[in-house]
Amino acid sequence: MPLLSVKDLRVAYTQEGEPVRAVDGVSFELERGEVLALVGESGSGKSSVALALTRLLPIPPATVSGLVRFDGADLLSMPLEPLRAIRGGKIAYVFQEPATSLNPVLTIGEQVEETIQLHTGARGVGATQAAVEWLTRVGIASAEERLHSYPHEFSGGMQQRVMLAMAMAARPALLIADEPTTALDVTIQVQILRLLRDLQRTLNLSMLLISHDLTVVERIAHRVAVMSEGAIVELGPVAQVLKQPAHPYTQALLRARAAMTLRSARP
Amino acid sequence: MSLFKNRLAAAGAVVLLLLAVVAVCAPWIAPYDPLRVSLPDALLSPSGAHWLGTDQLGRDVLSRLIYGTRISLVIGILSVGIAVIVGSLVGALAGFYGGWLDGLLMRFVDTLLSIPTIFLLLAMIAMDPAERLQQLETVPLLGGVCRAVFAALDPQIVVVMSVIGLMSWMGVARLVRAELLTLKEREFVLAARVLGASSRRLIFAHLLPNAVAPVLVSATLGVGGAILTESVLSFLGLGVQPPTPSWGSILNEGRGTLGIAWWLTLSPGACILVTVLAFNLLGEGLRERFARR
Amino acid sequence: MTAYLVRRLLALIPVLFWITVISFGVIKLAPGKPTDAAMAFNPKVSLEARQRMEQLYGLDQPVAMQYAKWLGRVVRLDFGRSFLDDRPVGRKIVERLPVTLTINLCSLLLVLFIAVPLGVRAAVRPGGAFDRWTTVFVFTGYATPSFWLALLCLAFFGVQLRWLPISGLHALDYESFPLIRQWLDTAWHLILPVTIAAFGGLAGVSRYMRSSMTEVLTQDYIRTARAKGLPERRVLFHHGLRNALLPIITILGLSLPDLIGGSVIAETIFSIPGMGRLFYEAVMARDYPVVMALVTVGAVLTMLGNLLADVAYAFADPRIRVGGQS
Repeated sequence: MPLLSVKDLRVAYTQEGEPVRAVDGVSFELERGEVLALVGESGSGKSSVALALTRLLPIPPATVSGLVRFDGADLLSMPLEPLRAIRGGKIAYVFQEPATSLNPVLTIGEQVEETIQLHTGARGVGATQAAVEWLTRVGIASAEERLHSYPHEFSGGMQQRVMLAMAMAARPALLIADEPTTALDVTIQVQILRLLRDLQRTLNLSMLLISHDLTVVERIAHRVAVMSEGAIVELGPVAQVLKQPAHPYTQALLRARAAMTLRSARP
Repeated sequence: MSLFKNRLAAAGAVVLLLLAVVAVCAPWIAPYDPLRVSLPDALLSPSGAHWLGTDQLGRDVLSRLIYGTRISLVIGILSVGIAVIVGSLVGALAGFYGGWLDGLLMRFVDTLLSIPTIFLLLAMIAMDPAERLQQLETVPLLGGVCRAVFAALDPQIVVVMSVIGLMSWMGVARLVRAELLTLKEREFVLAARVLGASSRRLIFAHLLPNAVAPVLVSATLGVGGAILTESVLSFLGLGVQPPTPSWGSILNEGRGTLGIAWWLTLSPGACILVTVLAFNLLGEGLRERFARR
Repeated sequence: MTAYLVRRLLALIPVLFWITVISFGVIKLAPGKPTDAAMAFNPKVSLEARQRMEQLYGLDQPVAMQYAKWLGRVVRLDFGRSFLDDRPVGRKIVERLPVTLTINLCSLLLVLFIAVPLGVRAAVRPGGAFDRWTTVFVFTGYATPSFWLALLCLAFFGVQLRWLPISGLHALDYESFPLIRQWLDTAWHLILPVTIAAFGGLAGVSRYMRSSMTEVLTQDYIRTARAKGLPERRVLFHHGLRNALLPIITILGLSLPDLIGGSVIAETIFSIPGMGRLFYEAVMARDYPVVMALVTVGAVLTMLGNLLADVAYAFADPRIRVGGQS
């Protein structure tokens, strides 16, 4: 049985009286240990899919329908208590802007320990220990001292590592990463990607990776789903889709990427 | 929520319109002469003859309140007018020229803002501005203007108005300065400069008109504040002097009879509340409208 | 953080300078010579006293010299003598200061305890019934003259219901009370004045609290907190409120001038012997030394309060307390 099974997911917003369909009948499956990439331009609905899975979209402006099965349970109809246990615990998120996604008035130690305490039951010294381990694991040097640092004291790349530590500290089965490298410098992007791939392989982590960057997809994903205007237009193994795109939209995406690479290759 | 607020703003505008009508038509609407003393009729509770009762001197409260509308609106609007003129000038100078002038002016503004309003107000009144203003009449050009103004309005009212205005311009100055600082860098200003516009022309014809919106909002809200301030002053006996009926002074006169003649306290206060509320609602409505654009 | 604080302190110097200039200007602009007024109100002022006062104010010297001399005295906290009773102004102020400070502090606390929860609750459920009522309350509060409210409360609670005392700071036989009862008695007398003084702040702060909280709740880190599976309470309070309260510190600092000024009305109506009432009486009697001194003191107090607010803010916001990237 697949870890995550999404059937006919629909998300609509009412904007100034007009209903806007952000996600229009999306279906896909994700196996354990698999990395599925959701690719598309801004506005294609990919972020909405990511947030809708655990009902993180604010419900009055948004309406969500469909079936989302995670580990056998229906996430969309579950009561809030067990849903919160899954959020952060079994399904963790990493967002695009680490600078604003971390609480500026709390130390990173507090924020990482918060996840640990909530989802692993560890307390006090045990929680602190675990926090140090995870921070070290994601590549933050002198983690023990840095526990008392605040987010603004870190660079963008370090902040994203903290977010990863925070997400992974609860040992989730599924990591949803929404444009995790987009806001970072190019050199840092590579580092973070490497880290993600590393974590994924060692922990057999399932990942739903959202990106508009095909290079990122190539580096880390097993399968890719191409989204356009709220629907998935193509879905398949990465190598296949990128070499032989079936849908005209995918072809256009690839052509655009090729054009960019060609241009930058010129002296 | 927005619709709710919109309706409130519209209600405010309607109330203000009514008040304006009342103020203008006071002589025709008021049932009695507000200054008419009639001791046998003192302290009558509201009745058919006197809808809001009478005060210690037998004057009809309703009529006094109606005439009080004039005082409140005139002082409110004119003092804000003074504040806007002075504030815009100072703010424009500071924002446009920047540098040491800006620093100097803004420190001065900060200082005035750190003096508790009432303190500043009362201190100004303590300096007997009425005498000062009358001394101004000797100055050649200004004196003529002053004489004309004093002929039209009771000097005490002019005093109150000026004092309130001179105490409220700081907020406007900050606002205008902020607007100018951002507008200064915009393209149309650079274009005008290239075309050879003088500084004065730039300020008056181009920059200030764009600062109108926030100033208008601030002014509308400011009228409410000015009316409140005037009522405080009159209540303390330092504003409009009896027998001129100001809502604040009526409240002051009613102080002695608080326990017995509640109508002397309730109605003037209610008038102030409704008027200030109306201006505030209108101001907030304007703010939302301008913000949306 | 020290750099920030030093900058703030330095910025205060020109403001202090202007305050002294304005206060000095008050007395210089006062009509007639200060000595004339003293004569008018107190015929017992002798020729020697008059000469002494003339010398004190250095009325025979150029304005700049007068200012310098006056400044020298003010820095030593010598504000001259009151025209009314010839007592040192400084002493008169010091007598009244604690009362006013107590009222202001208590009303500040009252505002915090009521306005913050109001604003938070309204922000958490925007557009709801509570939010609408809070908005109505805020707007009405802004428009209500505080002295009118004071009169109504006086009439209702003091005269009609006889629940609360209507004037003064102490009961008549205060002296004979044991300490605890003295404290309770004073507190009893302060209930109405503090409530009235707090009134304006209540409307303003709840409004700012609401918008600050609303703003915070749209931030990314709130989404992260929810994505971590935290209970909503913790998201709102531990993550949200902590951030939303920061601007409120500044707002409270900015509301100080109004707070101090507000005591004039509360003290006058409830006959509390505080600084506000002293000011009012001085203005009525044209007691210029007191007026001028209080303008200075009022401004300085405000500045101190703002400084305190700035320090508090610097402490509370780690972005300022700890500085940039390492």
